[in-house]
Amino acid sequence: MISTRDLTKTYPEVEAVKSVTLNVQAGEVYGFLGPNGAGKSTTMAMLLGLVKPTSGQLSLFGTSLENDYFAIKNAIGVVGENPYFFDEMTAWEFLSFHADIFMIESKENRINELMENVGLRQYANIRPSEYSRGMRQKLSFVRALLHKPDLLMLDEPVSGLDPHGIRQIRGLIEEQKKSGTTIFISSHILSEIERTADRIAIMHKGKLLVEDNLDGLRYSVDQSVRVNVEVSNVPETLSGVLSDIPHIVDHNIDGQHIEIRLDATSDHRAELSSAITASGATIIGMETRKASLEETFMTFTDDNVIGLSKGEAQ
Amino acid sequence: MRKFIAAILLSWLGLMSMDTDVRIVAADNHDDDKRDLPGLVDKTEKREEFVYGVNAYNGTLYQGVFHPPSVDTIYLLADTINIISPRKTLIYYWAVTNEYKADFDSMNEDIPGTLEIKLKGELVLTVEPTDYVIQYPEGITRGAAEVYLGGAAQRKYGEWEEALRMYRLDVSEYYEASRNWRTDLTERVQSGKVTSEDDVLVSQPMRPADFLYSSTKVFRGVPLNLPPGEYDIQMRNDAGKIVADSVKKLVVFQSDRVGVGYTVIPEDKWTTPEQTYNPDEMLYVRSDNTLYLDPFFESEYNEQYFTHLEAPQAPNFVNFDWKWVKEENFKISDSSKWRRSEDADVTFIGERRPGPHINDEGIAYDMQVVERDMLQNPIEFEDYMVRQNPGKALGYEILEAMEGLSQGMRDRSPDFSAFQIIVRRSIQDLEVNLQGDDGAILSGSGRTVDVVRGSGSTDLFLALILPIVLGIVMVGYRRYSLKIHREKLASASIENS
Amino acid sequence: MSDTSTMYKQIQTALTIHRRDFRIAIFGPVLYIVTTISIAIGIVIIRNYLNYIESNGLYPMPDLFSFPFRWVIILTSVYLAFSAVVAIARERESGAMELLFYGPVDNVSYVLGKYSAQLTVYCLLIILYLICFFILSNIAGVQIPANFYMMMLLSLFTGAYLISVGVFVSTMSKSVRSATLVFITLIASTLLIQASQAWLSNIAPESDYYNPVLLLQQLLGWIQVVLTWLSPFSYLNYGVNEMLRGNMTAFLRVIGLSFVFCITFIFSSIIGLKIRGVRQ
Repeated sequence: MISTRDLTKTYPEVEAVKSVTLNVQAGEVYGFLGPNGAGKSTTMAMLLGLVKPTSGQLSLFGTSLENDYFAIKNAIGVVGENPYFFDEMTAWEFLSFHADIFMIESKENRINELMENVGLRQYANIRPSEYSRGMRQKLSFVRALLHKPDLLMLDEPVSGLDPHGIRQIRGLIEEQKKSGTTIFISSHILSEIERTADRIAIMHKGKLLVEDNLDGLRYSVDQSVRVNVEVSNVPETLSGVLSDIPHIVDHNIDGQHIEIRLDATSDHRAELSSAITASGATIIGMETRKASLEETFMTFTDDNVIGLSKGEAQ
Repeated sequence: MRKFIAAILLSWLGLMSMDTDVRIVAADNHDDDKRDLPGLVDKTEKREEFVYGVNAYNGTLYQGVFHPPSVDTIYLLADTINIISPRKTLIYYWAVTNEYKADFDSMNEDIPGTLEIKLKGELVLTVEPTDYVIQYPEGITRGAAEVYLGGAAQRKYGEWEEALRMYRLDVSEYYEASRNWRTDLTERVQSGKVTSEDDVLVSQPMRPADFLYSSTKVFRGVPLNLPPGEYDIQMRNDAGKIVADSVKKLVVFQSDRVGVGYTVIPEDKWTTPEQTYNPDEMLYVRSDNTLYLDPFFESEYNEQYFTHLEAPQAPNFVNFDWKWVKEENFKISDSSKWRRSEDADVTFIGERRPGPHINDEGIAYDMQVVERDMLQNPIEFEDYMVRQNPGKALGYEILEAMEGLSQGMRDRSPDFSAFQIIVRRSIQDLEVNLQGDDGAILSGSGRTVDVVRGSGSTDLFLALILPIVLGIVMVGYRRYSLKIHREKLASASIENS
Repeated sequence: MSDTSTMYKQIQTALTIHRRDFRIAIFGPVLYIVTTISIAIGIVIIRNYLNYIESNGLYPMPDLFSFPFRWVIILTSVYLAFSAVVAIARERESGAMELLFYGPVDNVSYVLGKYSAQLTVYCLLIILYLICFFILSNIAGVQIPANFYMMMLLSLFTGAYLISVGVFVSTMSKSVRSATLVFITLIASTLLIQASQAWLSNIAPESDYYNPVLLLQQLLGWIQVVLTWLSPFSYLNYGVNEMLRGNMTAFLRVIGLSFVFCITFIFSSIIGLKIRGVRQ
C-alpha cells in the first residue's frame, strides 16, 4: 500500500528525514511512532505529496503521486493533527464541500449516515467553532471517511481528547480496521498504538530505527520473559537463591513484589516457582508480562542503546 | 476590517497613480525659504554657453524658445519650416521657476558653421544658416504665419516697413480729418443744423483699421523642414570641428489626428466660454439654455512632445497622453452681410466683419443638427453683439448683429461669431456637425449635446439603496438561517433532556 | 488517469472551491460596505459635475460617468485583489490549505478556484454598478454614452489582471502579514516611483556633465516606463483614454495585454504554489 525507499528530506539547517525505508501492507494498522521532532510529520507530508522529498522513492498503491494524483488522493482519507474547519461554514456545509471535492454521489445520505454514527447529526447546522475538541476530532474523522478511502492516515488522532473521546475514536479506528481499510497512525500516545497497531515503526532524529510487529519489537529489545511474583514473605536468602538460578537474567525485589527476567529460550516458570518456595517464601501470585511498548520505545530512542537498531549506526 | 481599510488606502493610491496630472508644475517650489521675489534672489551666476535658439512652429504661430545644454532633445513639428539658431550667450539658473534663462541682451553671438542632421547615424542633411523673417500678415492672433528666407526675407521685411509707414500716414490723416470734422460738427450744432443722430453719423471720418500686419526683424538661422522621425543634430564650425554642446537629439513629430474644436459660449456666461477639443466629447448643458459654438481647426499631438516643443525645460514625464492644440480659426468668407445702405445713407462705423459663412479654402459650412436621428434645419454662422443693460441694472443681452445694428449699435463691431443652438428641455439625442455646401460632413466636427434635466441633488444617493438592500438581504439571510438552526438545536436539546 | 480526465477533475475541483469562496464573499458584509462606499464616492463626483453644469450652464467632457466609474472600479478591484491576497495566505497560515490538499486538490484547481471566485464576484459587481449607474442616469437626466460600456468591458480585463496579481502575491508569501505588505508595497511603489520621477525632474542639475540626481531621474524614468507597461491602473487609464480617442486598436491591445498578463500571473501562481508549498 505504502512503500518508501531511502526517502530523505533535507532543509537548509537540518536533515529532517534521513533515508527512511518503510512498507505498509494493505489492510493493516501501521503505527508510526517517534518523539517530537523525529520527522514523523515530515514523512507523512511527503507521503501525502505536501512536501517534496529531497531524494528517495515513494509509492502509494503501487504508483507515484505524479502518475496518478487524483486517483491516489481519492483513495486516501486524512485526519490531521490540528483539525481545521472553515469558520464561516456550518458542519454540514463543511462536509458537503468536501463531499463535492471527492465527487461523492448521494452525499446527503453519506453525510447523514456518518454524522449519525458519531453522534453529531443534531449539531450539523452549527459552526464547528462551537464544537468541543472531541466533537471537532470526530468531525475530522467524518470528513476523512466521506469517500470511503482505502487508506486512512491519522496524525495524532486522540491528542487532546478525554478518555471518553479517546474511546470513541478508538472505536472508529477499529471499525475501519474491520472493514479492511489500511490505517497509518502517527502518534506519540503509545498506549493507543499498542492496542490497535499490527505493525509499528519508530522514528528518531529523522531515521527509521525499526519496523516490526509488537512482539518482534519487544524481542529485539529484550529477549527475556518478565515475570512478576507476589510473595507473602521475603526470606533473606531469596535474593541469593534467585541469583543462583541460571535462567534468570536479573531480578528486582521491591517489598513483596519481585520482578524477574527469565531467559525466554524455554519456559522456566516451574523452576522459578520451586526455587522461591524452597527459599521459604510463599507465592501469592505470579504473572508473566511482556515489555510494554513504552519500554520498548524508550529503549529504542535512548541514545545509549542505539546499537539495537537494525544494523544502523548512529 | 483590515481588508477594508487597506482597500480604501490602496484604491486611493491606485487612483492617484492613474491620474496623469501627478506631474508637478515646474514653477512649484515648496521651499519657501528660497522663494525670493525677483530682484531679491541670490545673485545669479552667469556662464557662457552654446545654446540653440529655436523658432518652433506650434500649429498656430512661431514660438521662440531656447535649449540650454541641460536639454538634450529638441522637439519640432514635421513638414513645416522651423528655424534653429545656434548662439553663444550667457545662461543662468533661475531658481524661482526652476529653469535656465538666457541673457541674450548681454551676449548673443552667432555661431558660424553648418548644421548636420543625422538619421540612424547617417548624415542625411547639411544646412547652412540664412536670413529669415516671420510675418503674420493678418495679425498674430488671426492669420497664418509666413516664413521668408534669404533675399525674400529682406524684401518682405521691407514691405512690412512700408506698410507700417503707410498705416502711420493713414492714422495721421484720420486724426486730422477727425479734428476737422469735430470743428465742423460744433459749428453745425451751434447753427442748429443738426437735428438727429443721422446728421452726426453721415460724415464722421472712419478710423483706419488696426494695423495687424506683424513681422520679426531679419535674423539669421537654419531653416529645417523635416518629415517625422528621430534625428541627431550637431553644429560643425568653419574649422570642421563639432561645436561643443551642439550635439542633440531632434524629435520631429506630426499630429495623430486633426479635428474641429469649438469655443462654446453659454448665453448667461459669455465672458467665460468653454473649449471642447476632443471630437468624442459630449456637451453637457443645462436645459433651457442657449449656446454659441465658434469652431476652430485643431490637431492632436503627443502631449510630452508638444509640451517640450513649447517649453524645452519642462520636466520629463512618462505617459501616453495626447493633447489637442487649437491651430487656426476657420476663414471668414468674403460674402458680407454688412452692407452700406446707400439709400438710407447710413454708414456702419467700425470694422466690418465679412461673414456669415465660415469656410475652409472655399467650402462654406453650416451646422447640421440631428435630433433623434431626424435632420433639423441647419444653423447658419452669424455675428452677435452683446448689449449691456443700461444704467445700474446688471446683465446683458446677446443679439444678432443685424438686430443690434438696427437698434443703434453702430459704433462697434460684433463681439463674436458663432452657430447658435437653443437647448430646450425636451431635446433628446442631439448631434451637431459642420456640413459643407458640398453636402459633406467635416470629419471631427461632430458633437453630441446632452441636456441635463436633473441637478446635483441628494436624490442621487437613492442609487445606494440597491447595494445596501442587497447586502442586508444576503447577510441577513445567512445569519437568520444559522440562528434558526441554533434555535432548533436548543429546543431539541430541551426536549431530549 | 488520462489527461482529459485529469483536466476534468481539476475543473470540477476548481468549481467546488470557486463555489465555496463565492459564497463566503457574497454572504459577508464587507463586500457590500465596499460597494456602497464606492458608489457613494462616485455619486459625490457626479453630483459635483451636475452642480457645475447647473451653475455654468455647460460642461464639455468625454463622459460624465467615466471618472466616477473608474474610481468605483479601482476600489472594487483593489478590494477583491486584497481579499484574494489575504484569503490564500490565511489558508496557508491556518492549515486550511493543507486540509484541502489532503484531498484531490492540486495547484491548478486550487489557484483557478480561488481566482475564479473573486473574478465572478467582480463581474457581478460590475453588473450591479451598471444598474446603479442606470439609476443615476435617470435621476440626473443624463444619458449613458456608448463608450461607457466599452469602459466596463475594459475594466473587466484590468480588474481581472489586478486580481491575478493578488493571487500571485499570496501564493508566494509565507504569511498573511508578508502577503499584505508585499501587495501594499507593490501598489504604493507604483505611485512612489511616478511621483519621485516627476519630483526629481524638477530638480535642475548643478552640472551639465554628471549628477547623481540625473542618474536617479533616469533610473526612475526607466522603472516607470516598465511599470506603465505592467500596472493594471495604467492600463485602465491608457485604455480609457485611447477608447475616448477612438483608437480601437490601442483599446483592444490593452485588453489583450491585460488578458496575457492575467494568464501569466495565474500560471505563475500555480508554479509559485508548487515551489512555495502548501505548508507554512
